[in-house]
Amino acid sequence: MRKIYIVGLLTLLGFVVTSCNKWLDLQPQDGITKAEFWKTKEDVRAALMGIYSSLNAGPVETRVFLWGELRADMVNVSSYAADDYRLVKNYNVLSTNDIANWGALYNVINNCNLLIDFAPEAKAVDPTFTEATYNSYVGEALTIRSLLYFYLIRTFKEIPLKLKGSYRDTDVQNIGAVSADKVLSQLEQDLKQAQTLVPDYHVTLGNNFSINPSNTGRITKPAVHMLLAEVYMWKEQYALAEVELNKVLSTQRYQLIGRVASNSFDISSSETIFEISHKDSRANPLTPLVYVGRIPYIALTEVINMDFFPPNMEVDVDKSDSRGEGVLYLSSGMISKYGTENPSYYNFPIFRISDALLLKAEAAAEQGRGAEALQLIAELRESRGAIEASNRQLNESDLDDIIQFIFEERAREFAFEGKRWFDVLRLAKKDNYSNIGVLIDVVTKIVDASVQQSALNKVRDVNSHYLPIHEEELFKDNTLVQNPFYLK
Amino acid sequence: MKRFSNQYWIYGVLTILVVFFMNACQKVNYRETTTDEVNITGYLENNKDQFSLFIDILYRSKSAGFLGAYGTYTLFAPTNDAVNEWIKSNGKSSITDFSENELLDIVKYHVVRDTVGTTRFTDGKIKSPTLFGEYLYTDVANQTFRVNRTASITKSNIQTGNGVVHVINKMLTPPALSLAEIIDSDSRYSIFAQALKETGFYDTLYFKRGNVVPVEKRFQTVIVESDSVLKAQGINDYTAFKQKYSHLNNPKNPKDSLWLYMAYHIVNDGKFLEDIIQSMTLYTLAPKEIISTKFENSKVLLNEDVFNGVLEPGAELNRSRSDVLASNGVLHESKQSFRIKVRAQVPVYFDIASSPELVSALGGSYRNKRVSLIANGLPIANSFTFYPLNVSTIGTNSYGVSLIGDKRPYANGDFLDLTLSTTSPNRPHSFEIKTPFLVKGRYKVWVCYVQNGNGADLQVTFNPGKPDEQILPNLVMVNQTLNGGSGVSTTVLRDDPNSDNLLLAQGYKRYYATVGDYNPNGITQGLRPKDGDGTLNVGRLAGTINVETTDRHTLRFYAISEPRWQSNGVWLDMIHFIPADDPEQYYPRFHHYPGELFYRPQ
Repeated sequence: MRKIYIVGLLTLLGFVVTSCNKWLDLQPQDGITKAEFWKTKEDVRAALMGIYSSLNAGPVETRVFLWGELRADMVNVSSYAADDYRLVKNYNVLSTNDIANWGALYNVINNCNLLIDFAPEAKAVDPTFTEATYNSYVGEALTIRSLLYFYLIRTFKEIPLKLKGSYRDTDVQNIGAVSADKVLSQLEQDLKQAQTLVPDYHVTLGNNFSINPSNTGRITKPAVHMLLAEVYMWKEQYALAEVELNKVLSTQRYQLIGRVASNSFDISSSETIFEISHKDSRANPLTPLVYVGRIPYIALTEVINMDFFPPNMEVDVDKSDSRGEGVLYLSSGMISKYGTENPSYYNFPIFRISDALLLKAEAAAEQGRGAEALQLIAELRESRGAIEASNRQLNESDLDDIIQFIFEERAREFAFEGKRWFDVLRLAKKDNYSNIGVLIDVVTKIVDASVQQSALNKVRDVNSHYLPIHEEELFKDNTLVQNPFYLK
Repeated sequence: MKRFSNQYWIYGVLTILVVFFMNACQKVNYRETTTDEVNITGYLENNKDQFSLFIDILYRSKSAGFLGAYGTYTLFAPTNDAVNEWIKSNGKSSITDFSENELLDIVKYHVVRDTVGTTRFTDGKIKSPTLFGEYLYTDVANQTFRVNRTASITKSNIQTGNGVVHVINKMLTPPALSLAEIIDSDSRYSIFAQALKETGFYDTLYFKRGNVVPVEKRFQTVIVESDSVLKAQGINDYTAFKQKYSHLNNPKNPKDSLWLYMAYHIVNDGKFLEDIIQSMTLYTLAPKEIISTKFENSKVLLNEDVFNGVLEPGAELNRSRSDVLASNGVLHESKQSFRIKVRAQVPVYFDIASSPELVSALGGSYRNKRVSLIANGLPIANSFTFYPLNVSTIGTNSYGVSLIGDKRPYANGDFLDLTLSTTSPNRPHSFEIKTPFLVKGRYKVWVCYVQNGNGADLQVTFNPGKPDEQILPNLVMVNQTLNGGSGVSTTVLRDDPNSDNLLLAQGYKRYYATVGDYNPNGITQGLRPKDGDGTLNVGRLAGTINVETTDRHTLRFYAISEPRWQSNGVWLDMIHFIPADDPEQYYPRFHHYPGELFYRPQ
């Protein structure tokens, strides 16, 4: 009898003890906690791939496209565009406008911050994590973070600068905004550091020269040079920019592909320095916005065909620029740069060798070397099959005209790549806004007649060139200060 | 003690008291509102330091309750400084010096019965009038929105429960002077002012609040010419002005050309520059005379038209002296003189695929390749449209091109390839297009198409939906060639030298260059035979229209029946508007090469 009791009790005990086992374990079933992650180099690599994955998820490229094109003179809104974006084009933005939503970029920035914060932990415990690999991962995260911050300061001017990752609620704090200068000096410092970390190639190429997607879809050293050069150009430090550009150009690693075709941006080419890669991954988010179906954004053909791709009238009437109508956009305004099928897996170009050439030409012209600048433009134009009608016969001493010409060529070369507004703004704000006329021209071209006079007046306020901080962000962080233009 | 302990009721009372005390101490604050948002009056009262005087005005005028109740309003709220300034400028010392009605009027002028945020502001009037019955004008100066060119908005788009508040730094006062008084009091307009008086238009433009005027005369627009503009033409005073224009020497007579000259400068309805830009035509008080308007590089131009292929330069409006607000409308000043254009009726040969708007929309595709007429659900140019637009095959309507040797060639090498059907729910039933400028008078309308056996019969309407709408009597049967159904046989077409007249008698003509026609440049390539393929290019007389105003008008093609069911293709090439009493209805003829005209055999 007693035996039975004992056995019975033991059995019960056995049940109770085992059932408690699972009960007390509070690990999530469908995810990995921080305590279990950041242990091996594979973890860090996965985090890095996560960064690239959040970069090509769609929202980042869409933001870059909208911020860089909507207020400029190459893209128009169609009848399918949301009212918010029509108001942006008409220079009538309130702090409730969706254009000011920066969440997508900060999302990626946080992923970069986490990697930079925690990669050292993995390095400490994983003996197979080599110095070179570790450096590369951290450098890539630094560069991507800098790239996104650079977009943000050019769009908003004063932004929250967060350099630490947030992985629990207490990490989310009110940090307010810092000035563009502060961000720029942080970027300069980060990029200089990244240059020492990121390798030239992720995959070394064999004797048969070929392009490897790992070297164009991931940050390599030339991409860091390019970004730093752009930062210097924005700060009007042309000599420093030229040093960086020379580092890219002197590698002889990149070549112009010549005339472009409508599918030139489908895959990486010998021109690509860095791009947001979609090949064998997610579809390009811009295709349904500019080519397939009911597209909200269309090429502003009446301006482009007149100002950037005018046809030859007297000589060589049959010739056409390979980047013009019929190739990268159609007369109906559809933009084929991001593919013509849905889904399309075209890559989104960030830096190409033509960018290095034109930036170098600009830096040269800014430093008084007009002849060299003209020669660089001519090199690119010849390669692309640019036609006489869009050429300018310039004397090497007309530096201002040469710089204007470079910006026109940039418009042709980087059409619809989210660069035009930033280019126009860079040209306008140079030398303490001595060229504000170019912004006024843009407004005259794009704003609806019924609000044109208002817009022309507003654009004279330099604060209006930057977007407002979104109302929701102001609500979340009461230390943020709204751009004064949007307070009235 | 015992006494107490026996009296149990005392415990009961004590317990109840304790319960009461405890409950009484716990005051529960229940939230009784669903939102903290205040209405307009509430907002002002929450910001008394800024708006105490305006609140005072609201209470004295008994409108505080109105703006505190639910509704949709926009209030332009003047700050205390603004109200003080206003009191002083009226020569008074405090709000109590104003009558209740005065205060009510001024409040009404600050309220719009609609929620109008700054995103809806334009360079013109706010589209809903104030409660006072007059419009407010907005623009931007010094990078800030302004109202009526005086008050700057210092804080905008404040959302309240019943509308929007914009804070302004000056009181808004309704314009004191009418158009007539503004012109009369401005020494720069002395000649124009005297002419207004002499012609009687001074009274038309005069208005005093309280006067009853017909609705269409309540707001007017006048475009003045300053003395210096007139002097530039050698008109130094009114006498010279009258001498030059008044041919009957009686400026009050509506047949007198000075009367017409002045009438041509006045438009019913208050039109700001923004409205002028968008309306494209202004209907003036001169009977049936219009002013065409154009917007180019931020200039507003009047009567700048391409007429018969020649650009006629127009008059530019002086922006800085325009959009002047009066109690009964708007005043603009033009930099150049403009007057009614006397034009003789001329035939207009309209290549329907080469209208200027379409050519600019086509860009490099013009005469080069096929392009859909619809992009992103809308017509690619604003000179034409379809009804309905939301059908599934709308994108198949396109601009097409042809080669010189094609079986079906087209004038100028291009045409509109339309699919119109009245029975298919997937196709539009009508196509509407703006004509070129037609000088007023009577015209025969020739619709020139290329035969398509599957096409619908088209009914043609001139200015549909307008007061001068005219439905043309003859159907355009696009499956009809020049022979057979036209009443003229192939043999006659081929051999009879009189076949053109026979066709004309039946309401048909050839419009494409035909063998034997004379071309001054000696072109013989691609001429059509008189029979066979040569009968596929058909000009059909749709009827005669009476054009009452010299303007661009509208033609609608409505598919009413269809002989077959397949493609519903309608291939339109040209429309000829030839003055009705012009004996020459069938020459010149047209050709693949643009601009090459063919005349009678010589």
